[in-house]
Amino acid sequence: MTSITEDLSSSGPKIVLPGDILPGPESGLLDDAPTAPVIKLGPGLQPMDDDTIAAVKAGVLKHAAVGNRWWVESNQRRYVAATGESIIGVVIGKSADYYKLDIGAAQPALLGVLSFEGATKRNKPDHKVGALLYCRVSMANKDMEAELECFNPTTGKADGYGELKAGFVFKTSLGLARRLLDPKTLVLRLLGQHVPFETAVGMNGKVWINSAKPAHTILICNAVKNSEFLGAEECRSMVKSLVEKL
Amino acid sequence: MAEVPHKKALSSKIMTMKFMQRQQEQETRQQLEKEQIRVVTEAHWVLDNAGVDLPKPKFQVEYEPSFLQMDAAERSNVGRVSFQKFNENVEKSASTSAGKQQLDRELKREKAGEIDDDEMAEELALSNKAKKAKTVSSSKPKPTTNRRAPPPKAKAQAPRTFMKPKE
Repeated sequence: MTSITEDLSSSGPKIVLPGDILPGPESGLLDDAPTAPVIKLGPGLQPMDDDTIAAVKAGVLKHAAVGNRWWVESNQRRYVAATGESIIGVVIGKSADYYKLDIGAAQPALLGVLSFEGATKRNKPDHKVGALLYCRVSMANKDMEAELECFNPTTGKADGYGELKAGFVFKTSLGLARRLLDPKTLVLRLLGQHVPFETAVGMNGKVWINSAKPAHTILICNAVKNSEFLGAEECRSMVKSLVEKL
Repeated sequence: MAEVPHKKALSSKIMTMKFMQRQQEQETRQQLEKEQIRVVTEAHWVLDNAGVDLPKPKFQVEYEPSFLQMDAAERSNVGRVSFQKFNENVEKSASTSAGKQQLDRELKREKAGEIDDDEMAEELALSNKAKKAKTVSSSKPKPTTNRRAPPPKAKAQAPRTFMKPKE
């Protein structure tokens, strides 16, 4: 196990590998590091037995001062369900009480038949096998199948959740899906200036696109897939070259 | 009247009487209990260094399994968006949820800077104590007996109850 010795302020992002221990306050690198009373660990970090914190995923170490949060921004393709995330699922089975959805995790997830806005026992929505649903993970832990819901729990309304009709779904890595959710990411805004479309991004790596023409859908899909490792300027020129071909 | 000594054999008719039966049952019950206590005490494990205090952990960890709360850039997170009026409902709900998330972030930032009234009072009290250099006598609160509580029930003879080993 190696300890990180690079100075945080000089070289910008701090890359960590699995097994790297977060430096304590002795090295003077990280203020409000592991000696603070309460520390919130996000994905990629775990506390070790000897009162230190080690990274378990490879990626960039990030820190938020509000609430003393630390996490590792890593990338992978296999989704692990976590509570509160919005995802796109495909109905693979139906029973009396719940739908079984494939969300790209190790196990299928369950969506209660009444977990829709305004659903009662007499008035249940009916979804066929193969339908696409944009849902929210209401409960997830590593021992059980994840449970989903198709409404916003704070308001009780659909708020964008529900069935996604028509359109096209493709798979991306989890890091790209998270970046697409960020309004600062350019690719969707640039495409939106040229082409009318709507999209739903699932944090499980599935992106849904719906537009008027198949040519537009193909264009958007290619642009999004290409934009994964491009910087801002390269992204702009990529989108421009694709749009000119339309 | 001379008392009948305990060990002498009594007649069988007396043995069939209810009070003798009760006495016998009590004796057998006591013997069984003694036997159980003996078994439990023998099976009881004791740690040798029970008095050693573990060091207090330096920090307390809370876990957040999702990337949702982890946004260093403090950005809004709207899953479903539409462009150029492709889907009006989606555009409306996207803008309202973005606004709501912005509001939540501002509130959280404000709350993180605030301090509670009680905490403020504690901090002032601590600083006062440091100024006057008082020695604080640490006294543990005396264990009080609750006289209003009902007397403890006699334990039922259920075999499932936990038997405390005799030290």
